[in-house]
Amino acid sequence: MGLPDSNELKDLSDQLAAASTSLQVQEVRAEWIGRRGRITLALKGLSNLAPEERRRQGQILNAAREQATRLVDERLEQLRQQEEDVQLLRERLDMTIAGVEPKVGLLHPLTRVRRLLEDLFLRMGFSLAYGPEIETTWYNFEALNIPENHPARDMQDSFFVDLPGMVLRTHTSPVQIRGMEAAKGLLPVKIIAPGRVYRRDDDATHAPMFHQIEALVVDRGITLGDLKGTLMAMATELLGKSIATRFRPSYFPFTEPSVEMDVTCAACGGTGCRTCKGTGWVEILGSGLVHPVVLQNGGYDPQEVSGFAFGLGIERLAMRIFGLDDLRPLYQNDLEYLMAFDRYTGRPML
Amino acid sequence: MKLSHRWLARHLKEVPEPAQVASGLLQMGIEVGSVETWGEIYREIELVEVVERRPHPHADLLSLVTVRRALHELVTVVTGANNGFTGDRLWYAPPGTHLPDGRVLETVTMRGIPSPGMLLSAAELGFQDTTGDLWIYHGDLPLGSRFIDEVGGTDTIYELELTPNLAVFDQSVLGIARELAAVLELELTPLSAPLEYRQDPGVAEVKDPLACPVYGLSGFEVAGIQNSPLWMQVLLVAIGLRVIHPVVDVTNFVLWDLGHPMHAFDQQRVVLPIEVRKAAEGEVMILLDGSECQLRADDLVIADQIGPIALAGIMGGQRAAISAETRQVWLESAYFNASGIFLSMRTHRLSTDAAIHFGKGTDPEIVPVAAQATVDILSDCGAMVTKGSSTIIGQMPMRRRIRFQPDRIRSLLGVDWTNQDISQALDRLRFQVDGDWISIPSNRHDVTATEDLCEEVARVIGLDMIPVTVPHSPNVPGARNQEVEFQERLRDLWVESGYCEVVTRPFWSPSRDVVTMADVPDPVRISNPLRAEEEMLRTSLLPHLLEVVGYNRSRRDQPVAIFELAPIYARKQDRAEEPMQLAVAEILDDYPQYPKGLPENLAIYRLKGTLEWVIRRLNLEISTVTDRDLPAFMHPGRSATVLNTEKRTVGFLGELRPRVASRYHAKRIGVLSLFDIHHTKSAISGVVPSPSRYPEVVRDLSLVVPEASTVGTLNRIVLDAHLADLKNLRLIDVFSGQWGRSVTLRMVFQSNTRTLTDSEVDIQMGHAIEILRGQGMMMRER
Repeated sequence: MGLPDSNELKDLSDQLAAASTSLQVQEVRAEWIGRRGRITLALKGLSNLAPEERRRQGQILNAAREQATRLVDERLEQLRQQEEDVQLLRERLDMTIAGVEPKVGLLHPLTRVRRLLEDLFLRMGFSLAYGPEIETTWYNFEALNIPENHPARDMQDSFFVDLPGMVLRTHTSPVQIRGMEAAKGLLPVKIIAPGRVYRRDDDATHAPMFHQIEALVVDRGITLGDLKGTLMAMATELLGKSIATRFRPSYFPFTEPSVEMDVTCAACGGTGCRTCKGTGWVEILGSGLVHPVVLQNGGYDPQEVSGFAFGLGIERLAMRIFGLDDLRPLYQNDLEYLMAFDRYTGRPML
Repeated sequence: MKLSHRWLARHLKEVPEPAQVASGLLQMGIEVGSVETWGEIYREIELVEVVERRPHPHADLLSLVTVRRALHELVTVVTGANNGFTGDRLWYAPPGTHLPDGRVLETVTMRGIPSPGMLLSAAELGFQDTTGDLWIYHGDLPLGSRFIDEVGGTDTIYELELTPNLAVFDQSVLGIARELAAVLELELTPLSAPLEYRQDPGVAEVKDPLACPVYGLSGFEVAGIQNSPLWMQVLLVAIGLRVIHPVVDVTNFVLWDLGHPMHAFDQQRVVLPIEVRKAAEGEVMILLDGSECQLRADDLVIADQIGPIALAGIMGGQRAAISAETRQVWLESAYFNASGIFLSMRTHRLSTDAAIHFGKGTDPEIVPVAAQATVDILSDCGAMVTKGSSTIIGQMPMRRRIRFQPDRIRSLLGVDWTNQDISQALDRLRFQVDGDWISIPSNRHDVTATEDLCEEVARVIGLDMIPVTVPHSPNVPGARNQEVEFQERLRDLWVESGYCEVVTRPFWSPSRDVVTMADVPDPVRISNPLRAEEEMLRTSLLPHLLEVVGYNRSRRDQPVAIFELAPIYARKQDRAEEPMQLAVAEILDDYPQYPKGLPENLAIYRLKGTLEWVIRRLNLEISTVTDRDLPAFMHPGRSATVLNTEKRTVGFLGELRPRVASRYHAKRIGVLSLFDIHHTKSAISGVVPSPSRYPEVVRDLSLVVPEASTVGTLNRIVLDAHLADLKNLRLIDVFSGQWGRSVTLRMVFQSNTRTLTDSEVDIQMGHAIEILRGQGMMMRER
């Protein structure tokens, strides 16, 4: 047999193209490069030639064998792919069917908003502080400059319990006194106190149990300007840089001067709507410089130090963050409702 | 409080635009709740003239009155009024008109004759006039004029929200005008001169000068006066008050104009001298509203020689009340101690307009001014005021003074405003700086210290003018409470395990579920619950959680897996304790069963597994045992008790009895209640072992065990054998057959130092099998 020429290799290509199964390709392979294949036999026949000629023809034949091997392998791979496709397509699934989601739990939205606030204030150097829910009237009222006859002490507003001198705390402000007492005169006092509080109200925007966060800073030279700066930093951090803030004089027995902070209404963006009664603003917290009587009751001398305090309703903030108009479902615990809070809110801590 | 924009003109020389009023008030801390326009409905009421009046052909009491409207259009209206004759000018409401009482007029047919619209009385327009049925107009307006022109056009009415401190001095048009004058730099109209009382003897006595420091009484003749001047009626009507009788109207007017309530008595019904005294315990009087008031010894009363004629500063009595027949009155203008009035108001639940002013504190210096203002208006109405006797008892209190400390004001506000800026701001609110002292206006009972002045200065100059800073305290990283951090981690772990956190309210009542509420003999009770079923504070979280299960189950047939971590409430002598509790509940129906081969309905192992995982994650020093007594509501065969290291019960885990579960609309509910959960110090100790480089040898050991033995015992036995290289022991199969109960354990052997040989493992396995055999647990034969 002579050297395979390009026509012969063309033959091989045609044969491979004609083969429609891998078995047929194997037959073609045997015919060309198998143990008795044409090229194999030609290579074996080289031993009869003179060395010079053997090397020349050997090079050509080896090249031919490499090319043949490549062509066969390529075709084989092509057919295998096709055969596998046929087989895999029999396993076809309807990929439009919804996936099976992992079974996960979710923190209650109020826990998430509370943590958001705690995280924010921890970053600002506030420490967490706590007080009891069943509180003495001294801590809840008198110590906070709310005397016996103050309207806030009406039976209408507070839950009293059958323990002498005790009340379900109506705000987290008692922790101001407890926090100062715990600091034992050291400076600065810089705490936040999250917790449950109780008032005798029950409607779409008032719950008999709700959550507040109280903040207190006491040090030498604390000013109303410091309060403004802290609150504005907080508002931006919580509600975004585009939020505007406004301060209004207000009244709380335990702060003087007292200030309320409004922020741009989320519902209308400040143009005025039903939510904000047309003003473009909604109130989010009450604050002020700590009243001298309160500083004294906490063991600090109002002539030496000053402080600011503010209190924030977690429910109110949650309503704002999640766009709620009724807080009752938050306590109803319909799981479908609670799980609806799993959407990403753009806040990593939530 | 309602504020009429027009009314401000009595005190401000120039009244700013409503928008400016609102923003000025906002800066002063007065919230404008709403702004409404008053008087729109009076645009439709027009002035007409009667051209003819004749009897109704079919009704004796009705007349047909033909009136001329502007442009000489004639309209005939049926009326039952006894006045309105040819030439009279009247107010006519054409069909379509809205009346103040809400009626919309249309053409009605009266006894066969159509009557388009209506001729109006003063009362139908919301005003008072006693001269006749229809309101005859005597002014100069041309025919066709609208009633709105007669009342001076529309008015803007603000609903103001006053904080308790502002209510001390801002509950009047004068108060608001003063605030606006201060913040917008406007000029106030001077108040009228004080009334000069004559000090006639035998008229009045003050027995309790502490409760009533100043008491003025002046008498005058009111016979013959019938109507309040229209301008005053308009202002009163605009803020929603009814006009009744000139003497009543004028006291109402002065109350809201100057913030000073006054009272008038019928002279003929009073036996002099009038006494201001504390009530005798058990004394009774009938108040103006007809109610009987049981007086108490700390109530201040105005009495004559017969008995009380008014509950001082709150409400008059019926006996000496003004009536249509009253000819002479005693006008009382007084200054009462605020806290006494406040207490009486609370005791008797009488929040009258007078009480909410006196109870907050009024201005003693306005006592004679208000009296003179009243006299002035009544003179306008035709009252003879000059002849009466009068007296005033008591000394005008001195104005209080406090130190003027501008440095302290600056340092508290964080501003660099000059002394002059500060004293000017205070001066605008009528505080007078005099060297080191500052004198406080007589109505500012709210101001006692420099901190209060800070607020005043900040209000006038504006909170916006205070620079924004942050505290300069040294920066200390904020600290969390370790115990709370542990609780947060616990929440996270349950959430990661697929349980949803719920928040329930701690109110409870035995009527709701006596079965699963922890049996605490003496819970904390709420003295004034909102509802009977919320009368106490919970002693266990579980019942609330089960209610949530039931609530969800009644809505949809889906798995429920929830938890709550919250305090419960326990009484300890006279104090309360609030230990944290964890409770978990899960519906076990319809879950896939795993591992296979175990008896059905074993989803409880999912809950148990989660607890075990949580225990591991937090190094909780607790474990479960099955040999303790369990709460009666728990499934006796599928529950376990949770113990702490001291072997004290700190919780339980398992299934509810199906009968209890069925109350919450589920066949099986798994629950966990942990009532002593604490952060353990060991949570932070411990070393994570390095992984072994040598291969594992896995052996499965199938055993036939006595029916009564548990996997727990089996595990214990194997572990107690202390096999040198046993790294892991796991249950992979359990089932019962004819030969008894079969358990398959997977044992994983591995060394950290070498590759184990089969024979090494065989020896260890053999040792274990031998010990097990001693306990009656045999290798299963295939």
